[in-house]
Amino acid sequence: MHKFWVMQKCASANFRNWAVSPKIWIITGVTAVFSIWNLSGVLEYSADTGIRVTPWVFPYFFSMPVMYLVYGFLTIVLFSEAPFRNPLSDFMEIRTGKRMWIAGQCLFVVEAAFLYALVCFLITVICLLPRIYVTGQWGKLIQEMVYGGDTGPSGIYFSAQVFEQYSALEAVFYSLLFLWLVSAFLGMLILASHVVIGKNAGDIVAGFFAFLSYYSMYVGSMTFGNGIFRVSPVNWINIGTLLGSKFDMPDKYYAFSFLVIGIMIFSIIGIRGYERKPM
Amino acid sequence: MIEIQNVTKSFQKKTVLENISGSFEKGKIHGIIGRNGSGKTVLLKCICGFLAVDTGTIFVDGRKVSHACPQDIGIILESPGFVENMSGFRNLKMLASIRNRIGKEEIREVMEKVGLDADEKKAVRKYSLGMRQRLAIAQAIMESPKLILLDEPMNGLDKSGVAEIRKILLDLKENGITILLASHYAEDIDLLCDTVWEMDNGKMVCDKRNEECNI
Repeated sequence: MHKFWVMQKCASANFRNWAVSPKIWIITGVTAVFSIWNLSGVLEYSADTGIRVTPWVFPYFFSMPVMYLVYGFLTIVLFSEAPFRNPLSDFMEIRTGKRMWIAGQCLFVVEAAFLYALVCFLITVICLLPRIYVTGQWGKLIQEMVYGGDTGPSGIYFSAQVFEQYSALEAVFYSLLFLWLVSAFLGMLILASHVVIGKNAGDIVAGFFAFLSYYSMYVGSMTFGNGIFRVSPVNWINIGTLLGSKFDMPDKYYAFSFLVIGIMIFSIIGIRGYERKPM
Repeated sequence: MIEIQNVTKSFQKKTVLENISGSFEKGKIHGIIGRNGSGKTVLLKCICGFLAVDTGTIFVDGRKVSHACPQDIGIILESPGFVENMSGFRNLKMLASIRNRIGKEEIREVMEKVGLDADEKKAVRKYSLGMRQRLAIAQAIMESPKLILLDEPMNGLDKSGVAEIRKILLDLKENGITILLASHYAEDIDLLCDTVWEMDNGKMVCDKRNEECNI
């Protein structure tokens, strides 16, 4: 318990630096801008028809392929400095020891990823506020978008499979869970690559996964079938790509196991690598 | 206290420390001088375990410095950094909570000792260079470590600040604490140090001004 508390201290010091970090405000701002743009069609449709929208658009939010690139880029920016060495780190590390300090950075990646997922969700809700009404159900507007016969007025693809397979709250829960885990996976991949290979290596590897997700939506799935989604974790931020073997896609259990094991492996590589090769 | 045996450290093709050896006795102030880039900071980083040596061994208090930082050590390396939007007191409190050896009162005392007001609510980002340096010295000494590594600790301090810090360092020495002091200021070295080492071209040699170096 004491070790966890020490790790948490290291993570907390990073969070405290967020308040004065322009990077964090830029990421939040860009996320907000793309959210407004992505949801503008839904709001227009809601205004035109007079049907209010529930806050549960989030599970469909990343269905537009370009959003994978936006998300991937922002996540890389968020974690590009992993393992987050700054002048304060010296004072922390001399007290915690190397292992605890780098473990604290891993914990920070997991916590920051959770916060990022939560902020993304909250921003979608805030964007919908002018036309929102709250209920635990999907609501009439989303139902119309799902069965409207086209991809919806906004470019967001409202998947009938997601609508039928999950209740609104379940879908939001899984979307948040996978956005968190994928962000943590990318963050840990960046951290481990920076420690073991060197500066910028993590950004390049994470960038590859971001582009793979975009590629998978077009040429990739046409060339290799839906099976390509099994090796493209960034796609899993859209639970519409986790429909299971019936659609020749990975299911949520596969994705969950892949991400959790990946996070654990990369954190071990990062910790071991840092102990042997200090920054 | 510190035993350095045939240590070499290179960065890519540049050898910064070349087969250096020496020992620093307990309870003394040891000065390390040398021009910029001569390897003073690298040596201090190797001693505290932030940098792994390529060859050779460093022992601190009989324990080999390898993949872990030595315990009970206080440092100032290069430009000291803090959480910018927190006060000096809160920064020290956060750092002290890791080892959990001292409480608020001890932090107040050490801040007063280095000439800072513990009740000052001002965020560290509004501190002058001298105040930041005083805060860095406070964090290095607050838990009364057995070994203190100081890289240019007088940077940014005014005349009275320098005098106060010199007195603090001499008091610490009186209490049996070992201090390694890397400094450009010849006066600091002359007034404070029991032994003086000079770094030049990756070599560490005992300075002419003393006869106590153990090579």
